[in-house]
Amino acid sequence: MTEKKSPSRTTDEAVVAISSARGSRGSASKTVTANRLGDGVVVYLAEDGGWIEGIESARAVDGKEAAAALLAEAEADVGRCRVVAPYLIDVVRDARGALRPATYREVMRAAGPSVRLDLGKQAEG
Amino acid sequence: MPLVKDGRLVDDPWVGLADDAPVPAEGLVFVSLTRFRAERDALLARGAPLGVRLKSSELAPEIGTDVPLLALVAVEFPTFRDGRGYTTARLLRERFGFKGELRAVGDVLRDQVLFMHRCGFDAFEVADEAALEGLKAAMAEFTVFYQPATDDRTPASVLRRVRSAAE
Amino acid sequence: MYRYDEFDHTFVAQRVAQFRGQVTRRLDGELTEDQFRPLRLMNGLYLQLHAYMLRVAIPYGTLSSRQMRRLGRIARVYDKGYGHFTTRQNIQYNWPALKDTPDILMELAEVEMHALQTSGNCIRNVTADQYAGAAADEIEDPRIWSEIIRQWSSLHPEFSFLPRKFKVAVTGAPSDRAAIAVHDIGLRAVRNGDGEIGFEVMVGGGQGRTPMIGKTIRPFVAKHHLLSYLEAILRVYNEYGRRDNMFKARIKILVHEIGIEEFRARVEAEWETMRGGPVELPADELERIQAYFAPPAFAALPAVSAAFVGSRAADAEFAQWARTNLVPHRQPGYAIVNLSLKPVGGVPGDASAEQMEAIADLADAYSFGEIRVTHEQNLTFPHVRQDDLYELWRLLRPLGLATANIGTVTDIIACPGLDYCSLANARAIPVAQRISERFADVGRMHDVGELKIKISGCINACGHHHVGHIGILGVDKKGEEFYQLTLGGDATETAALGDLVGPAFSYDGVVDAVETLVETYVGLRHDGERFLDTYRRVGLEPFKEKLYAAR
Repeated sequence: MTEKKSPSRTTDEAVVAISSARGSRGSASKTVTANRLGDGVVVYLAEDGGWIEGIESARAVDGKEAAAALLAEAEADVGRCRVVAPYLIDVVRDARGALRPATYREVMRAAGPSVRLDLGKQAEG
Repeated sequence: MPLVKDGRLVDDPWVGLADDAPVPAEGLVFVSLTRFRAERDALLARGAPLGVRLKSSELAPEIGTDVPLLALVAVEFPTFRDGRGYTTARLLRERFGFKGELRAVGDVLRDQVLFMHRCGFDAFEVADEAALEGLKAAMAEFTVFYQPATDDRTPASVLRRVRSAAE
Repeated sequence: MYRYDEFDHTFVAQRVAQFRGQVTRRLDGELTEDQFRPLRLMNGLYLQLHAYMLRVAIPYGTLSSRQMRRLGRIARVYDKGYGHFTTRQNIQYNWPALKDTPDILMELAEVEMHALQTSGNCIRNVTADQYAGAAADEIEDPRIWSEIIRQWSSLHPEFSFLPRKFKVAVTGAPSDRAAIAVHDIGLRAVRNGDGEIGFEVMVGGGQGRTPMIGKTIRPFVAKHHLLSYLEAILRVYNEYGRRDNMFKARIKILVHEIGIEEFRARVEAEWETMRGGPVELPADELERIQAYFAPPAFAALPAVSAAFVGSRAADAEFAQWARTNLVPHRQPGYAIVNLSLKPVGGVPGDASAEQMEAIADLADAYSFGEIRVTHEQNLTFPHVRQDDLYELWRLLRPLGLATANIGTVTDIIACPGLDYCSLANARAIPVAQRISERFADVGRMHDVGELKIKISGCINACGHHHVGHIGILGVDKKGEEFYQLTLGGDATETAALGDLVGPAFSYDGVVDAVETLVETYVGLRHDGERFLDTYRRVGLEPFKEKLYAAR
């Protein structure tokens, strides 16, 4: 079992993104995340209305109304038995324009457990 | 709302009265506990069958000694999570000897009816008629029970004794 | 060990069929998530941070080798090759797919296991002393009663929708190795003046956001009245427990709000009507269940094995392991062996599929095929010949299961925390790992002596931090992880809740803080004093002073 050390958040790349999000004030962009019904995998609502595993190319919106609409779209997919437990999360764009989660909890959720770097999405290619 | 009794959809002869609705001289009516307490004598004087509907917070002892006078007690499950009705039912049957119709109303779902039946409920108000098939299937899902309840299903401990006596 | 009869097999098979139906109805949309959630929770299936999580019941922490082998297989086939043993003696799988769970339950049923009632507002897995049937101070084997309570509470029609979860723990000895004082109901086997065996019954203990030590509701309930007494308690709780606020719905809140006197009065009024009635266990059923827990076919051996003594003298590392990981057995010539699931720097309580399979084989060879899970996230072989200890140790070592640290500073309890759990505010596992690494030297570990560190990643206290000698609670302050320290908690018969030391420490600072606490203790201790003893003698101040001096 390969277990690597779990870094302090202060060395975590994602925190850099979080700091810049705070620095930029105004409300963060929002993305919807959920778990796929059949296998529980963490997914994000994409531009095309489908659900994808990587947050980088998820759909992000600004403003309260757009966020509410996004969540409603996700809820409709709960009814279609695609996903469960959708909710809105804050996201920021990194230097390459890819979306990153703005909280550590969501960084963890996007990547996998910090104590098993060989598991979860962080381990997949 | 559709009523299931003895594994079938049945017509409901009972009418629930709001607290301020006039009481008809005849017919099967049930009222809230509040109204029953306030108008007990008048309601009983009708000479026609009477029922009481209990909120989940209204526990068996609040009506218990009066149950010989009642033909129906309806127990509310405001959400299936509120499990007080199971105790209420058992006490009404086992402690107070209620022999009338014990009806589960409210959030009555397929996966709770077997528990309800074991606790003494014999009638179930369901959301729609399509629920009947699921209810019947749910009642047959288990044949082994570990603890005695109000019903006459024999618990495993007793069956084991029967089995070893036979050996 | 208990073996299922035809009734138990039928029950669990029907449960699997029922769950399979429920999952099918969920996947095809007939059940909404709101309707399905309580059903899947009653089968121990959670939705967690990364995936579903399945919590499998290990009744009173007892496993056969066959069952352990199956747990390993499930980890390998349906999960990512490992499982996590919990503070309630259960095992958790972190990555099952919903659509596989009926098959997982079917495979569990084949080895007489299930995931029934490991979640939800119902009576949960009954936990017991992991040294049951082996410890020298035992009055009554708690597994017998745990099994009886397990059956009585399985799909209990009246108590499946309680105000909140309900946890029962049983200890069969004066010493409490099951943390009964912090359970909703805690039972301790006792003898009354006539030499009859019964139970002291405690209620209203618990951790979480309002930790409380349980209160004795009745000092002696005769064995044959135990079930009616429990039924009376549960009924009063079901009727009067709060339903308006889920954070105030445990029985400890009810006992606190109406007082133990009033609570007792209500319970005993109820009990009057039930005592001696149909809920009581028939005497022949008690005999039948008791028979399963008869001692194994022990060999007649001298009290002390010369071979063991010799090996201990010859091999210093073996001697170190023997010092912390062995417990005296009631049967001459035997020992209780603790397998540490806390390798230095490892994830506390985790075991790989390969380890589980190897443990099963070793249990067959050395422990009559029997394994226990402790509430401190370790495993136990209850019955090992002293003659075999050296060989067993040598086989455990390459498996990473022989760390000589049971009960020491590196034998840390940690909940899954923010690495896995959607309720968490902070990570717990890496804090445990780093503390463990700081004290990696076995000599130092042993010099520090008995020290129980318990870490929770949120206020729900699944890491039992309130009863840690050092308790650590992870909190989130403005998006950063901070850790509050408590001192002086105790999960044994001298139960106590820890005292908050002061302002919280950062993720980077908490390990130094723990080391400061340990060094403070070492500097102040009298001969033979454990950390807890010194704390009880000198109080909080000396620790507080050292801890915050540098800040």
